Amino acid sequence: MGEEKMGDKGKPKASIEMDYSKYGFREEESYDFKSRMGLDEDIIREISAMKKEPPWMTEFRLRAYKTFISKPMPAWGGDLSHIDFNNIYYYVRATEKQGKDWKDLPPEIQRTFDRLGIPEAERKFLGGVGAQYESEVVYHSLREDLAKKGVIFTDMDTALREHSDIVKKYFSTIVPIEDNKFAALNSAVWSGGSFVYIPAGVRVDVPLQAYFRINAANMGQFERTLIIAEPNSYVHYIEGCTAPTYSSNSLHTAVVELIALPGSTIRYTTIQNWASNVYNLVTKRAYAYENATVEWIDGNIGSRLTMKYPSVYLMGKGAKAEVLSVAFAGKGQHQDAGSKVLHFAPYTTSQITSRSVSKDGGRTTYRGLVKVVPGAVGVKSSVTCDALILDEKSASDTIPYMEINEKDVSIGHEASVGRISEEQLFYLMSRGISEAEARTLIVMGFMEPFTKVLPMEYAVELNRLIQLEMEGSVG
Amino acid sequence: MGWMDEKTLRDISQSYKDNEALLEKRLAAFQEFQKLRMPTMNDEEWRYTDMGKIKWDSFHPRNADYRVNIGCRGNVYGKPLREAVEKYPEIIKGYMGKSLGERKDKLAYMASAFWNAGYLIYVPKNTPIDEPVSIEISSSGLTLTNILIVVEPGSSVKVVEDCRSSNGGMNVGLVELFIGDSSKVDYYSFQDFGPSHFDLSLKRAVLGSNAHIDWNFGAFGGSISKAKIETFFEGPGSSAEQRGVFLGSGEQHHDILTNAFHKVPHTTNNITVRGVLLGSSSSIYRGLIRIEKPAQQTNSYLNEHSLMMGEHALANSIPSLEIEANEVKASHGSTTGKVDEEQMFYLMSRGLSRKDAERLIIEGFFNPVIEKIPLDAVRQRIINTIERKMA
Repeated sequence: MGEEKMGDKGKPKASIEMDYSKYGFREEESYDFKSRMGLDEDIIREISAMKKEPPWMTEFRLRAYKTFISKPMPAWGGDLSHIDFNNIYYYVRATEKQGKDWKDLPPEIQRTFDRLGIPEAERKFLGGVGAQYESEVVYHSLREDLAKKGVIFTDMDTALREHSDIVKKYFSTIVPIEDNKFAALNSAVWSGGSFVYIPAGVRVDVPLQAYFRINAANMGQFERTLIIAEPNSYVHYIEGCTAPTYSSNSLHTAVVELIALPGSTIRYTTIQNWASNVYNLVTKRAYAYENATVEWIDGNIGSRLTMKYPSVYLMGKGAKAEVLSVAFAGKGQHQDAGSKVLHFAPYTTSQITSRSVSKDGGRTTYRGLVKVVPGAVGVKSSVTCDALILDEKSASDTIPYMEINEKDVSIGHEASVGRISEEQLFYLMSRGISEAEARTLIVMGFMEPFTKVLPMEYAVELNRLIQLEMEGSVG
Repeated sequence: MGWMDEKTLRDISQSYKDNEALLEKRLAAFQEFQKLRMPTMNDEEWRYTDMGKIKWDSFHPRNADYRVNIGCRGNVYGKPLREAVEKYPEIIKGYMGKSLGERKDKLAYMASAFWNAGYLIYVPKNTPIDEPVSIEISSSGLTLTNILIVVEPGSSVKVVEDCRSSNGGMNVGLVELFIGDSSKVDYYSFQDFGPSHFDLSLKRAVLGSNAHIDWNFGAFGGSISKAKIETFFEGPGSSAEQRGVFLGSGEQHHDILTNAFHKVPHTTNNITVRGVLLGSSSSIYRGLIRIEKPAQQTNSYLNEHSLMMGEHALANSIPSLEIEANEVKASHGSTTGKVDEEQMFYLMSRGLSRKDAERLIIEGFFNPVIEKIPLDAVRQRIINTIERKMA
């Protein structure tokens, strides 16, 4: 924790060294290729041709584009009225080749990822790293021993070329084109993203990481991620995302599909810290088969509007879903997040924990679904949502849906919304801690269920981010 | 759609000999009615309720055989609207339809325009009424009820509403309750329509400063029963206690909404609902607690529990919170589950049959709500109905 220094008028000044320019910087654009603005069939064919894709993928993209245009905008959720689909670059390629060594990257990209601390993290403790800059993954590496065990961790474009049979088997089977307007958009213009394949019985003990960065203004990033865990395997995948702040809007529409085959475990951690001009509209879904476990650890700190509901479809007996979602909405932000768990098989369990904080006029919304179909006996589900509203300008909603069509189950939901407890504040302040510090401590404690499941570097980083957000918020 | 036009409205008005003022009110409601679409399953509020079952064209307000009795004693006034409009024209003018202006509901306007049974219950200032006012509604055919209850400041009254029918019919019911400063209303709603009846009802209470309402409802009948109870906290210091039970059997569908809208500071609300679903019955429970920015120091709670006993029962529940003020306490909880097998075993090992054991457990499940219902007669009626349905 930073030290307290008393300023002139006795107002405490936190001396945390962190400054937001770590994320807020931007590089000059000298791109290898930038599509013209807006979207039509020609641009899609162009993208597909540049990537040298097989015809079935080009067809798939065009079909998806037709679906995208025909679907209406959702009439619920956040305010999508300011998105101008014609004012976005759908494909920007920063460099022609992908590097396996940080030194191979163009200097401005190197600088970007250096400042974000990625190479260092990789050296220290990651099993593999993918770094995406604008539309393409510019850097990829995988630890040798993992590669030897048959683990595949590469970008989606490479996977389509080198592992086409596996990709074709699973691609879009979890999130079909018609699922929603933004899944259709992603299906049409997707680029980059990760492909992870873990062979049966293999445990990947160190996390695999991906980092997504938007640099250009009016940029749309549409990564597509597919993770397949064969029976009895284990993997932890972490992704982080940032962008500099512009006055115009950017769009991030990703699709993530997870397949956890019997007995396997997939843990997917996201720390989303997009700048406040980014619309973050994401479809994340997992199928968990018999005795498999899927854990979504979802942290939403940035973006102007996030609409994201990581879901788990429990397809086999004994499958488990665990979702841990935290959201922080500051000025001008709306975090509309939550989770969907669908119990399609008996003796499946789910636990959803959501914690959110809103301040300075921000709004957090929890939107979730727990569904149990007839025949899914022995299901246990519990959902807990807690929200803190830090000042009178901010707001919070909780909208949980429970659709229970089987009597032999046990389903519980509880939610609470409130402010920081006066008692807790008093306790801390009576120990000599300033009010600002005390509030920050309490908010960090509130987020603790989330930070404690993160690898240490990330937990430290997240704590710093929260402290930064809390700066200047007294009362 | 069929009969829902101005001609029918005027016919009804004429046949009941409404005076100018009442006709004007009907027409104003009709105008609003026209602006709204008929709800379908694409509308969020009706997502889980099968509107297709309701054949509006097979009903007509002229084909209604209903009896509505208002029984009241003491200084409370309870008379049909056509009389009330002569005695209290200002009350009718000032209050009728006043609560419908926000969160507009097409069915409420339908009742407010086409009502064939309309009543005013009026309690003057500083008049505590001990004897409950009873409203008995029994109907077949299409009954549209429009009940206006105005309680002036400093008074209190209990209202018991009892709805039954023998034939399949439809009831579209509107109750508007205006509770003056420091007044208190205990409202009991007992619904036991026949199994092929449709009941679509909306009750709205508007609370003045330090006013209080005690809602108590028991929903047992109907093929589709929609009980929408909304409380608007418009005066600081106002409060509400809301308790309800519902029991579905056969193919019944219960659609229950208990919404609380906190607009001013220092209000309290506590909602408890318990339901049991037998057979292939279904339910959708919604409870929205909405706290606007100025409503600081609000305490609002909701909890709902469903017990699923039927093999093909379906329970949906969506308790929600929309909170825009920070110095509040708001929470909700909801559970859905089945009868605890251990409890069953315990009872059966004492010699009770499975059926008897189930009945006992269900009574125990409902008890925390029922025991808090202040009026003995209503409490007993609810217990009897539960026993009858379980048999």
